[in-house]
Amino acid sequence: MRSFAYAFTVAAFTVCTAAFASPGDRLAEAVTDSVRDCASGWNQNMPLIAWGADGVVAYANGASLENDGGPLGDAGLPLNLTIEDSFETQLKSYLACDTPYLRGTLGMLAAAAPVTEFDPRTEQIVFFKHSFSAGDGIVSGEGIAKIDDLKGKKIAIQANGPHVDFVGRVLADGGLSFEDVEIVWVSELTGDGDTPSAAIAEGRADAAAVILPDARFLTSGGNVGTGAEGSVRGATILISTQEAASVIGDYIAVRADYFDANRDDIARMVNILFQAEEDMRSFMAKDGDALQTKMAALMANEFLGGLPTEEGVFLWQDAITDGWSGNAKHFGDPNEARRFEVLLGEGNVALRGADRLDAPANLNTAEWDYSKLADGLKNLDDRQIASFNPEAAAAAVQKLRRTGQLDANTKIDFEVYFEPDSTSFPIDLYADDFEEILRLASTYSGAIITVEGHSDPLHFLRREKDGADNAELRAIRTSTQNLSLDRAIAVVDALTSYAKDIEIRMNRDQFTLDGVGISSPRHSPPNTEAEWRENMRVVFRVLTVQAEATTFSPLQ
Amino acid sequence: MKKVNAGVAFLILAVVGSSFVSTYLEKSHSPALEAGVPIWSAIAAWPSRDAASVEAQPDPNRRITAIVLDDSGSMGPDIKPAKQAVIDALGAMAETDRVSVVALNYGTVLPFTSVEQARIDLPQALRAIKSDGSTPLTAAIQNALALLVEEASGVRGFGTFRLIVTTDGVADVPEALDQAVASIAEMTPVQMTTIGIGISGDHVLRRSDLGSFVDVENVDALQAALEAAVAENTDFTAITDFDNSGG
Repeated sequence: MRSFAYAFTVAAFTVCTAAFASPGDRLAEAVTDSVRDCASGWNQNMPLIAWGADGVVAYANGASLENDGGPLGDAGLPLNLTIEDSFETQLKSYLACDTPYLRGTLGMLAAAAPVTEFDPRTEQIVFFKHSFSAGDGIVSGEGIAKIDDLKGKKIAIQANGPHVDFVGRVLADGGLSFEDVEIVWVSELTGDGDTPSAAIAEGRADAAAVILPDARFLTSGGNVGTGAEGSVRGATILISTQEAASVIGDYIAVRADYFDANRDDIARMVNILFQAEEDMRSFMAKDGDALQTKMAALMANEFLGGLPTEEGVFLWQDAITDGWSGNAKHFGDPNEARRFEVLLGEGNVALRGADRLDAPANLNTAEWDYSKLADGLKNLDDRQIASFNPEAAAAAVQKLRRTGQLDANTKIDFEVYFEPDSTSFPIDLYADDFEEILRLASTYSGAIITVEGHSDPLHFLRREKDGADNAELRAIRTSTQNLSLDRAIAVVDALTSYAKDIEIRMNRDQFTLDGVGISSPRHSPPNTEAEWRENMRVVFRVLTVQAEATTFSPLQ
Repeated sequence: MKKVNAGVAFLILAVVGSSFVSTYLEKSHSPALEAGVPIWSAIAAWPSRDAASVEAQPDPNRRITAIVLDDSGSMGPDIKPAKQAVIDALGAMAETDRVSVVALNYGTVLPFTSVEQARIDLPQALRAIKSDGSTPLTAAIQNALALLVEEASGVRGFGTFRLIVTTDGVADVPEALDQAVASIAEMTPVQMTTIGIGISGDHVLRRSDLGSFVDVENVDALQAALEAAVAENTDFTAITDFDNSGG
């Protein structure tokens, strides 16, 4: 439903690359303009992209792109906002200080480092985080059901666009790297032309990183592509940012020279943006609210080129806005799993792996004292996080298992091993693994994670061989089934305690407990003690499918 | 009967698509198949009914028991020790376990509730039960099984499901009773225990491959009959000569 708006929207990041360079060229090859000094005083020019969270800036600017009062104008900080979806064009304006701001995902900002960081004036100071994305995905062709099925395949990605670090993160969590795949660089993100969608549709790629509206189009509505009406036969959505809901972050960076000269004013602007986000988060959740209608209309008209007002609402819903608490945690909390340094590190690994950077980008942040940026805010609660209905999730997982779809929808496995006939396991040995699980849980914060216990079948098999009667065998089977669930519970209990000890936020409802008894032993029969022990395990699986609409509420 | 079981097994196997398909398909079609031989894929798929919402974290150590009380005319004065046996059976359960009681002619005496609550409510509820009427034992067992299915659906089949039948073993249609008891053993993980009143010989309720049996004179033995089975060995000894494996 939101496809049209979003598609038009992010037609966004697109545009220019083709005009200036060939697909696959790095930003430093596409943008070679010289640096100019900034004029003194408040520079009113700021680029926006056609993204729902950017509505916050427009709302703070008097619900207008033009200098039209509002909280920013009232504070003497008016802005002239321009929708600029070409990152290369943004970068040129930034070097010339037509605007001191860059607006992009963290991966895009990092990719621009070779252009911006060689001159102290243009070093980026990342000072505001808008949101995480819930509107992007990877579509794969027939026969690619799990991340590791991508090995040796071609993946189409927009060069210098928002998906390079997303693909890198997903590949890494599936046990792959860019060396295991071939990247097909394209110049556009969506729309007509050289897009990832076109690449997969034309057979130039086996998978494509796309915006979700395109993903739904390619897969016949988010199912399996029929080959009709522009879909790709057999194509499915391999993973999306509705599951990987803390991967693609959207930011604003400012030139260092301008930041140094206007630090206090920028801080006041940030505080006003936090207030605007708080207001918008509230009224955009109220259907029929006059302010919702007003801002939705603005975004539909100005961001999307005149689409129906409801498309503005959908655009907003594709963004998981951060607000004050999200920024404070992201930039200032060393215990936040998805903090800035972590995402930048991931982005660097991905960009270097994809040959977009030679050296890691080292971007600075504003290092705000967030306690001084809370004026006027009514609610300093945690950033909205995905909420799950654990009962519905458990029912959905059970249904997936029964219909044989659980394995197909499982993308990332992780295992913990146990002592025989027991729910005990050496917790101390799993500290690193627990941290990895917590990282996965926070990265894929919109995904159900199944915790699936297993038991070993040797006792059953031995008693069967000994001629035990069927009543005993059935009783053993029941015990193994229950033991397997007990193991899953024990691991999640331990994980919960671990997260609490290290002060990492964990949403226990995200974990769906399951036990499969001896139905899926790794070794049957186990022939060695090692094999026997490997059967006594708990497997974590990140499900990249939203099994039921009622299972997960990703946004407001 | 064999033909029916084979057909049902095939259907379930096709749906479940478990890794044991070939093994059990072969097993379920075997001409040597005896009534009551577990069809593991069917047992794994039990309860077959999908609940819209289930317990997110069911207690795997919970025992869920449906008790069938024979209140037929054939019980005569034995109804009194039978009722006492039902009450005594609660002593073999934990307070957090769940229990229901169904009588052949009276119907549902006690809907599923916690054992803690049943200990309070059941004595009063049983006072209304008298020995009278016919012996629809099979129907009562099937009704109790249906209650277990409903309970199991809400907890995704986790826990231990038991059917305790307190009876003299007389049934209106003995062949139907044989089939029903065998079917439970073939298709479900429900563990059946009979508290027998004068049942002897090769009665289906005494078959050890289908369930356990205690005499009403020795209800204390019920506790042992209801013990959970060991799930795994605690030490490893390889067995190299396996035939079909179950699970």
